[in-house]
Amino acid sequence: MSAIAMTWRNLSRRKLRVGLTVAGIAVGVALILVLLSLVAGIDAQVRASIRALGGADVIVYNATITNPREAFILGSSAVLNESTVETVAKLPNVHAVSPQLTEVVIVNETLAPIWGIDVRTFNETAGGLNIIDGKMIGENDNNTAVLGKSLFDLFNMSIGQSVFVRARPLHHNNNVTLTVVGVYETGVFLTDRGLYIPLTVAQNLTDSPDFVTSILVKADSPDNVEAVSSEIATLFPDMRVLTLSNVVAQASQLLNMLTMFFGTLGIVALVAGSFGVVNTMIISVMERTREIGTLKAIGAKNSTVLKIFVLEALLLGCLGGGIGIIVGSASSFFISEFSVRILPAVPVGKGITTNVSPLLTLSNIVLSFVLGLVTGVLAGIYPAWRAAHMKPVEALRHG
Amino acid sequence: MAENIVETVKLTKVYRKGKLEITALRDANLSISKGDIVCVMGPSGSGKTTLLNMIGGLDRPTRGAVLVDGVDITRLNEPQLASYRLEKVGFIFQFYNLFPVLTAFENVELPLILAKKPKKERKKKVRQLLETVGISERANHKPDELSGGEQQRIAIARALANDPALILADEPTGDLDSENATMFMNLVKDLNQNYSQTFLIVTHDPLVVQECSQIYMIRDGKLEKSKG
Repeated sequence: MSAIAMTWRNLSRRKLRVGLTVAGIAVGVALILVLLSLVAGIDAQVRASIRALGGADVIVYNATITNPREAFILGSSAVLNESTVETVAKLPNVHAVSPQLTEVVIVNETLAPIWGIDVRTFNETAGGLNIIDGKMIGENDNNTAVLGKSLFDLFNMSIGQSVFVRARPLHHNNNVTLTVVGVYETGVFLTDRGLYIPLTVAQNLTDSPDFVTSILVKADSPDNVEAVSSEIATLFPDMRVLTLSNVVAQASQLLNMLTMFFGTLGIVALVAGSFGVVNTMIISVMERTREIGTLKAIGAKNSTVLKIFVLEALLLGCLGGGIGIIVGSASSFFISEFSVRILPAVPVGKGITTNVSPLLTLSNIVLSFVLGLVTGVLAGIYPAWRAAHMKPVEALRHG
Repeated sequence: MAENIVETVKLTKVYRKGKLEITALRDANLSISKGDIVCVMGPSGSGKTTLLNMIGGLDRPTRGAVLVDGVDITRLNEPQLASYRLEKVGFIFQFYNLFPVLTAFENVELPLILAKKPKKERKKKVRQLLETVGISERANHKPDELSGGEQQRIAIARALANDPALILADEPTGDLDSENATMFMNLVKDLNQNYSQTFLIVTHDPLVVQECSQIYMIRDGKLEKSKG
């Protein structure tokens, strides 16, 4: 018989009480995990948008429309197209402009994001891609692609082979076969899971000639970035205009708000949960007073009794933490997978996702679990100490 | 006369209740030799359990000494007393005090775990003890699945686990019917005859008293020898 088995059996004596106590901790842990996942999600989005800017200074997005399908349905005037690109290009202090079209398509039967780019202006504006193998799409190519490292590895292919790209059913199953000429790596998960293709190919695929989802802009000097962005914002009030500094500012504002909100909730829940543990443990110690006396009579040291009850609290924390991370992970997954829009959209995505979605990371799961564990143990110390320091004679006399 | 295992010297216990002093035990002198079955009788509240607890290292006297192998255990600190209880004495209680979540086997094994005995040795010892008390076939039952008599025999096995010099029993037959009480005392006699196991039993059960080699009476905190 192990100490853990004995502790488990002791906890099993009072299933309902233990269950409620565990639930108390689990709620706190789950809240904290969702918070951490949101923070990680926003962080990833910020990184993605910084990458999206690449070497560009400003990025202009459709405010409400994130893909050609929506543009078609809504027929809004607030749609970026190639004439917008020309207008922006003629603004003062603008050095270069490059249009982009982003969509999710099916590549070799796998969903993946594509970025349709005009290669010449893209290189000029964003400074190109970090090609780790092969070469970049040529300026006049119309049947080539460069793949993100993750996607390339997923297909286990080599340079020179081709990929079959199919638009989603809404776009009449348009398809095209492209030759893979190179592999790029950005370090951003979503970007490395996609591919860059020529703009015209992307537009044909989505039945939307002329349409673009974003415009990258390079100012003639870093000092003029703000001037250019406010100029564009004035000219196109329906667009979102983003610079590196306001990406960071917006994200950190949102981040602070969320951290305060969920952090307070999570901590309050954990503290409340810890009272539950204290309460359960004190009752458990009282009920087992005579057992504690007996334990001491047969030769258990105070430290042994302490260990038994701390182990019990640890197991409570363990269960609470375990259930908490399961619930928290499930909630985070649900929010991100089904794009439950509980949060305001932030203009950071590349048309892939524009609302903040939680990102589960192993370190956050571990951290939340440990918080639950620590709560259990801290809350269990006082009751365990009381058990350890009971006078054996009095304990034995007890009911 | 055989060597003394335990000797109490002018053992006195005074309780304070506010300004009131209650003397539970006054200048008790008692000696137990190896192989004795010593009974302490007396009305309830007379100080019998107090005496037993002080000899067992569960309670400290106000004055006096408890000499065990020449060492005064009243001078030991808490961890030393815990070791004393683990190695030198074994307790048997009126209501058996078995751990409800543990099986019979595990209850007997517990003192061996506390003594940090290796697993193989523990298993062997527990099996042997359960056989000695005649309960091998009930080894995997929990206390609430066992009769009072069976539980008390498991309690004896538990008390014997670390080969104590002395077993202390507080009203061990108080909750048993006469058949089980007889069975209990037969086991005590067996252990006494075959292994020279020494017992100190607090009781007022005549069935127990008739088997004792020494009998003490306590009245109003005064201990007096009446046989042996």
